[in-house]
Amino acid sequence: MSLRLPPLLLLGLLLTGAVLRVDGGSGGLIDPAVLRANHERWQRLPEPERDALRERWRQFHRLPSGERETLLQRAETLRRLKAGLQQRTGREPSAEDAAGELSLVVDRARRAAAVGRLEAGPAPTDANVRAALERKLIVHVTAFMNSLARRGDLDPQQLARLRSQPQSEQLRDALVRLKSEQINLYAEGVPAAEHDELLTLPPLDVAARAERRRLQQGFLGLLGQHLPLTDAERRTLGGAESWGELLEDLRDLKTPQIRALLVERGVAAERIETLLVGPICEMEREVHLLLRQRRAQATGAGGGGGAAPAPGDVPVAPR
Amino acid sequence: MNEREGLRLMEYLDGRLDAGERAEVEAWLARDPEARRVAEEQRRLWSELAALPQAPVEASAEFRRDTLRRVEQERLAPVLPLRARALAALAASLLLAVVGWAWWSAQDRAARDAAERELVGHLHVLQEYDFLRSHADELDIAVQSEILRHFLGELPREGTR
Repeated sequence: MSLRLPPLLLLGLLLTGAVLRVDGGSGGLIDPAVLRANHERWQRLPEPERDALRERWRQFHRLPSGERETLLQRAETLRRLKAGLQQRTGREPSAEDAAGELSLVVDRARRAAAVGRLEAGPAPTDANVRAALERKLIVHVTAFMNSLARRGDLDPQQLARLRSQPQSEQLRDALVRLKSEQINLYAEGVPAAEHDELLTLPPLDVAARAERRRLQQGFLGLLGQHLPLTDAERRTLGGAESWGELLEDLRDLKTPQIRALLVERGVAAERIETLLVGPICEMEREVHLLLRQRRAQATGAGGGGGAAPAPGDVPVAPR
Repeated sequence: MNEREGLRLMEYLDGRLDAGERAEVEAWLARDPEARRVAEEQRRLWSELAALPQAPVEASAEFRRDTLRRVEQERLAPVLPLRARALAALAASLLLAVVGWAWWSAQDRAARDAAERELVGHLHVLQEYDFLRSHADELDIAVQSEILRHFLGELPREGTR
């Protein structure tokens, strides 16, 4: 063999390795379930339709980044809305179905935004509804962060840094923390594979799953396992007009059992009353931690959690 | 004179025979005139060679350099014959071309696959594009109200009603 051949073969091998490496690259951060469903639809599309979608994809990429983000948010919400609709009706919703469902959502939002306004006052415009929702959202997100800080999951520096961020970033971080909270509660008693799948989902998808679980079992986490819903209770909750109302109805239904559970576990009477009128999510999280701690003590392992007040709570008040 | 007789004669002229052998050869030379003629020629040739000057022959520096270079080139020269070398070069070029083509096409395919994968990941956005644009205001309210819904349990009882 010529002395010039081995280096050429070596070069060839290196290039082949590079080809295999390039080919083995993975895709971006797309929810695997969405990717799978989209892929199945894509496979069924005729080539001319695919070409039209490719052109639309190019148009989408030419949009300013802020506009693209907004469009993606709207698309994600629409996707979840249609998925819920499909689950209820058992068929793929049409554009008219989606528009009808969207109108219901907007009507509910208008009613929620109008809470606290004079009954006789003029109906709020869409711009007013958006502004009112935004204010409510800030108040609730601030309460969420304060609750985490009280529990010791956010230290004062982290809380101060979060507060100093622009609103959009505060909201993003709050959603990520909400996801982590809900996975902790939701993952009680679910198979490991489902737990792992939750980690890959966007925060609002996790929240939507947690919401469905609440409809099935009532409270999330160990509280829900201790006090599961009866069919009669589920029917009662089905009559709630809004999600907030449903949560309060759930607490009303379960208050005697929660009180009995906390008394049995040795929680002070004053703390029990505070929990029963305080934020529902806070009660849910605290009782979950309490039950987990007791369970860990019973099995001889350590447990954690507490509800020490954190300095510098932001006062929140609904508007 | 045959070969064996020629060798015997050379050994005689070189003085390598013992006395008996020498006597035999001299007897042979005495009776064979042809043998005597050959022996005389050989003796004259050897004496002329012996008379040549004995000066040492020294190779020039240039001669040594050229010789060494030629030896070096000969050592590096391909072992394969010319036709085999041409075929090997052709095969190597073809291999390089095929691997290069595979690499570039795989790069291109990987880029196209990644773009297509991203497109498929956002298929629901693209297929609903017109709807998203025509229902933008309602959808914005739905987005906010959806996010709000998941934080609704964070306020005390009187705050959620």
